[in-house]
Formats: sequence, structure tokens, C-alpha cells
Amino acid sequence: MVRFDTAHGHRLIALCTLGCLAVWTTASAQPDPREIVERIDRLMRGDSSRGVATMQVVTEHWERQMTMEMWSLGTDYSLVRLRAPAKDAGTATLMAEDDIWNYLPKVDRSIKIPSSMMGGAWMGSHFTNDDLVQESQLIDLYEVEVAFDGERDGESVWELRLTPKPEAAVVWGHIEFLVGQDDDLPRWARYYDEDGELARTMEYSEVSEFGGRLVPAVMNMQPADKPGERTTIRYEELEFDIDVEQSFFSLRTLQSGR
Amino acid sequence: MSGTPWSRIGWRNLGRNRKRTVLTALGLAVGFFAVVFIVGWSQGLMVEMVESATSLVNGQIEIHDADYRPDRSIYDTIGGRNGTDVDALLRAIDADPTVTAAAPRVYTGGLISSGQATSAGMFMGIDPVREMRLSRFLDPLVEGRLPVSGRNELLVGEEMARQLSTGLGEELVVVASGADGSMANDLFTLVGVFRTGLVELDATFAVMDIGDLQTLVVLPPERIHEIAVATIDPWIADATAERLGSGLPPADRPIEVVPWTTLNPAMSRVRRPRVTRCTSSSSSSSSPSPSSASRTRW
Repeated sequence: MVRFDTAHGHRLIALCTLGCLAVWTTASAQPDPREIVERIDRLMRGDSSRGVATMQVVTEHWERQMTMEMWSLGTDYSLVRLRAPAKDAGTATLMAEDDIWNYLPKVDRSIKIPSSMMGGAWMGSHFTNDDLVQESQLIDLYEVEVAFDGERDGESVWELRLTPKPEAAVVWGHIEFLVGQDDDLPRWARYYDEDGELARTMEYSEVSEFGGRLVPAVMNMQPADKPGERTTIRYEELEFDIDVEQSFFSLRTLQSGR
Repeated sequence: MSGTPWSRIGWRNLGRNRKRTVLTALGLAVGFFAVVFIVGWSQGLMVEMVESATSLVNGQIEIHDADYRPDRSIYDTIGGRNGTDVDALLRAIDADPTVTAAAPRVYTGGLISSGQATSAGMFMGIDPVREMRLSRFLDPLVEGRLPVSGRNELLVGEEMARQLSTGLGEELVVVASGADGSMANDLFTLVGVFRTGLVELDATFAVMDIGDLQTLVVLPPERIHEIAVATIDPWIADATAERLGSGLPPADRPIEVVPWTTLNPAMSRVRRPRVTRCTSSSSSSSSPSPSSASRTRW
């Protein structure tokens, strides 16, 4: 039979407490990477949002600028409608869960994008239809880990590495995200193909105040294999937690041309 | 038969056992006949396969911008950004004595929707009169007729018509990327259904008038992607291609003239029949087929 004397017991408790404290502090220093991604998403998207943005697409063959108005609700619903140029004005995209519909005012029809075309360019830009759907579902599709935590260029950052879950149907081999620790905002995202080659880079810049939040006003997408090409989205207006119902994200709204 | 003693002995031997002689002669005759027949038959089949594969859609020679293959970008038109004088080019090609037909084409990928269903498709713009002299796939049609220029009419393959649950006279939405970056879209009326027997073609191809497709995707009339050429004999396509390549009118950008033997390396192992080559050509008989030809094509 073992018998503790009091002094021995106290020492044991102290040791336990110290141990627990140590575990607790490491835990707080190593934040849950999934939580970081969720926080960014909440910050940049809100529960719902409405915005106006210009999209400039530069390719080897042409360059054009579009103005668009966009609404979103949660991660599953969004609606984007082109306001300019006149030739394409009224053209709209509805994203509802995993489906994408395009409305074409010239012929007054809506067509659902078939799954085989989800990798195709959205409105002629360097974004794909898949980007619209999957960008909001990163957490469900990817495993997230912190690849780097510390100072870089005089700033505390996390570098997150997202690798697809085995069952996820995604096109990227992995994605790297650089996130500022002070503001929880992304600096850039690098998309790599399945061979580990850089495919494209998205840069976030010009942090500005919209609807009481600080978010990057400019997103620049650059394909790695075509250095002269890019798509730049610049927010002109952005408001969060607006009054919008799920019923707004319907084919009826899409076709109404509002 | 009065040569050496040995040949005399042999000749007499033939007469001594007539039954044996007849049986042996018969055996040799049947054997030779069978070999000649099988070699002839299999090579005839292969030649027919090459001819039917090249005359179905592709033609025996294709003329493109030098950068067009393999990406087949909408911007890589013959003569580059400024295009080419299509009529002059066609006249130069028609002038070759071995050329039986030449047809201009415009291609682009896009979406085609009937309302209930949408599929990804390859749009092919043709000059109906020239095309009918070159390829077989639009003659006869399963139903309907060829498109009339300026009326936004199109034809689809039988399988695509089934997938879209559409029929003659119905309107289809056609969406593609315009050469100016716009979302090109318009309504087209289905006027015909074709069948090639190749599922990948019948499920993905939509054929329209070349001018209508150029209008849709904002390409001027002088910008085309391909001229397909048929010759009097597929086996001289290489020589014709070489001659055409050196005799074309000058252009801003290099133009490539490619015979089917280069476009379909698998099939090009089949050569003009020659008895001495029977073993090598019969061994390649398994690889060429119309479907493998079209797969390398698209």
C-alpha cells in the first residue's frame, strides 16, 4: 500500500497545474487553422452582403472592363449581375448550393452550367465557375494546416496550406494562403496544380473600410503560365448583413433582370 | 523436261502416282489462293477504313495557322489576327489537279441549351455547298436539311439531340466566348440532325453556317480556322500537301498544310497495299479505326 504524505501531494498538484498551463499556452499560440479560415470567410463575406465591383480582364487578345452588382447569403447563395458594358448589361449568374445558372438577357433565357463546364471561365475572366462555388466551401473541401507562423517582411503572418480531402472533387493539388495575424486578412493565395506547379496567384490589396469592416478592396488574379494576363476585381461599394431572404436567390430573381 | 537426270526423275515421279500429284497440286493451289485472298481482303478493308475515316468529317488534308494545333484556340485563325483572303486561298487550292474539294471551317467550343438540358458542344461553321463536296457526315441527314446562311440555323448530332430532348424547329440557346471577350449568345433553330456513328461526334458537334458562327463569336469573314481538302486518292495526300504548302499565296503568319498521315499517326501506319509488306501492314490492322481517328482529331 502506498501512502502520500502531504508535502509530496502538494508538489504533485503543482506539477500537474504547471503541465496543464504549459499545454494551454501552446494551444493558444498554435491557433486552430480551420478557425482562421472561418474567421477570414466571416469577415470578408458576413452573413449576407451586397456590393458593386468593377472587373477588369486583360488577356493577350483583348481587354475589357465590366461593372457588376453582387449579393450573397451565407456560403451557399450568391447572385451577380453585370451593369456595364451595355452589350452584356443584365447578364447574371446565380449560384445556389452547388449549381450555377447564367441568365442571358439577349435571348431572355437562363441556362444551367453543366458539371463538365464548371472548370470553364466565368464571364471571360480568369475565374472559373468552380471558383464561385468552391471558394466559399474551402473548409469542407480542404484540410488546413499552419505551415508557417511568425514574422515575414516585418509583419506577423500565418501561412496556411490547404490540401484537398481525399473525397473532395477539386482541381487544385494544394493552395497556400498568407494571412496577416493583426487583421485576419489574406495577403495572397497561391493555387498549385496536381504536380505541385504554381498555376495562379491571387493577391489581395488596398485594405479599405466597407460597412464598418476593413477588407481588401482589390483582388488580382494572375495565371502563372500567361504573365501578361490578369483579372482584377475592385469593390466600389460593399455592405454586410443586409436584409435579404433566401427566396431572393431564385431563378425568378435571376430572370427578372433587377 | 529433258534437262538434267534429276529433273527427269522428278517429272517421271509425278506421273507414277497421279493421285498424290493432284492432291499436292490442289493443296498448294488452295494454300496460295487463301494467302492471296486474305492479304487482299485485309488490305482492302484497311484502305476502306482510311478512306471512310478521312472522308467522313476531316478530309485528307487540313490547312491551319501554324499555331492552331493542338490547342485549337479561337484566335489562331489562318493568316493571324488580320485573317486571310479566303476566296483567293480556296481558288489556289482548287487549282491543284489532285484536289477534288476544299471547304472552309470555323470552330469554337461553347454551351448549347434547350431549356430542359444543357450540354457542352463544339460548334463547327461550314460553307454548306463546299462542305457537301468534301465530307460525308451531313449526307444523308437523319432528318431535316442543311442550314441557310443568315438565318441562325443549326444541326446537331443524333446523340446531342437526344440529350437535349429537342427536335426539328425548336429553338436552342447557343453560348460561346466571343473573340472580343464578350459572352456571345443567341438563339438558333434546329433544322437538321446528323449521325456519324461516332458517339463523341454525335454527342458534341453542332454545325451551323460559317457566317452565322463568325457573327456569333465576333470574327470577321476573313478569319477562319481551317480549310479541309479532299484529294482524288488518300495515298497521294502527302505529296499534294507538300505541293499546296509551297504554292499558297503569301500570308502574315506561317500556314501549315497537314496530311491525314500526320494528323492520325496511328492510322498512317497503314500504307498503300504492297504484297511484300503484308506482314507489317496486317499487324497494324488493329490500331486504325474511325473512332481512334476522330479521337486524335478532337
